[in-house]
Amino acid sequence: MVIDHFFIQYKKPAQYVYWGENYLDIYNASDSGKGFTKTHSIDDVSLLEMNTSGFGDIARVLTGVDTGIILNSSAFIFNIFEFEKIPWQEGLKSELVEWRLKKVFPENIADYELNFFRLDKKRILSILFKKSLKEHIENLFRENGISLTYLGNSTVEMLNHLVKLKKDAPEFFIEIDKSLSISVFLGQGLPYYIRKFRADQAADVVSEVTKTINFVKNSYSRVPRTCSLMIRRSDIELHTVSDELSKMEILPLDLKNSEQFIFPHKE
Amino acid sequence: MKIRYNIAKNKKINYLRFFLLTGVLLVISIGFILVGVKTLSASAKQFRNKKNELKICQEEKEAKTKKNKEQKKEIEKIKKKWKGKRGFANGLVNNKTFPFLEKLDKIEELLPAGVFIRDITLSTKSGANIQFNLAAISSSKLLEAYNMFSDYNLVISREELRDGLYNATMKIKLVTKK
Repeated sequence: MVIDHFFIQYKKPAQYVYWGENYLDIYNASDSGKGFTKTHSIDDVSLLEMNTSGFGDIARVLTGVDTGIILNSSAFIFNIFEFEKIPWQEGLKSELVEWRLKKVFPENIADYELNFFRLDKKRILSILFKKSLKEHIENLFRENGISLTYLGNSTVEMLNHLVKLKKDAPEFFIEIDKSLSISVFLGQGLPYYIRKFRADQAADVVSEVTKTINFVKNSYSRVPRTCSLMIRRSDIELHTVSDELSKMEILPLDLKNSEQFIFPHKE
Repeated sequence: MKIRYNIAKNKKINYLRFFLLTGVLLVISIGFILVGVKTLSASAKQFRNKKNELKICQEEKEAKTKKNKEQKKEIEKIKKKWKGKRGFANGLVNNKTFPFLEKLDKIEELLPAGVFIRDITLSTKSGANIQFNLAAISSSKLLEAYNMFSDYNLVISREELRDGLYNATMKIKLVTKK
């Protein structure tokens, strides 16, 4: 696997579509070559309800270059499993993850695209994504003549950026995209607990975050002291969330250039 | 640790990077191979020289072994020759006249006065029996002679009185020095 990654690397697209909660933003590589700049924003577009002709209007905005799509975490299912020992053989590892998934996931795993990543000696992050949704996205792009070379997730991309910060990474971050929130707790930049929840009001967000922090304290014996809020779009009063976090003695960290964290690293 | 999560079906391989990386690795590998070949050829040359030296040493050894064998053969020949000569010399020593005289001297020394030898038969071999006839003027002189020779395996075969003399035929064994 390591040798594969060393030799074979994939071209990163020059253009990205971030598909959020019923909206999408189109980003193109900035002229300076550093990062991406938002060029278009389209509201009231649901990925699930989108059809080929509807996507045709969007496709017209896209330039004819390789394109990537970054989805928020609403359609992704994250699990972090801890094992006594993780085997090196990919087959065994896959069987082990599937066995653990079957215990916690009520649906048929075969309907999902399963990917898993070894986080450290004992933990594996598993990501499930509905195969039918993936095919739907690929069909939309293909039928409109757009080359889709990247299909990723915003939370994973953020994790990849934060892991580079190591000790400077926040102990948890909350990614907010309208009503969808996802809180990710990190140790040395690596996730150990991930939770998604939906909340439309600031008070509800605060309540859910408080519950989550208490759960982490009880289950992982860790007390997070720093936090970053990664906001895509939000109608809630964010200062309420920040204030409540401060009351819990959690220091908010403003990460430089964090709006670029949803895009994959250039290799 | 980076999570490489991209589930798109049509990922595009960065061939430029791939070929550049492969090229760099290839150049490094060729470099290593060249260095290896050079080192090996130097070692092979050294090995050949050593092998030649060894061959020369082996040839020298073989020549020396051959010479050694020849010398051993020569020594054996000389030994054989010397053995023959020694045997002959020993024969000469054994057959020299001196033991004769010594034996006769001894017999003369042992003979008491009034006893004389009429005839004697003796051998040059050490330890061989000596046969002789004695004549004594009296029987007591003859007995005296018997006493003198009694320590030398004396065997008396005949006694007679003839012509007024006491004759006796006897055998003794005298061991003489070579």
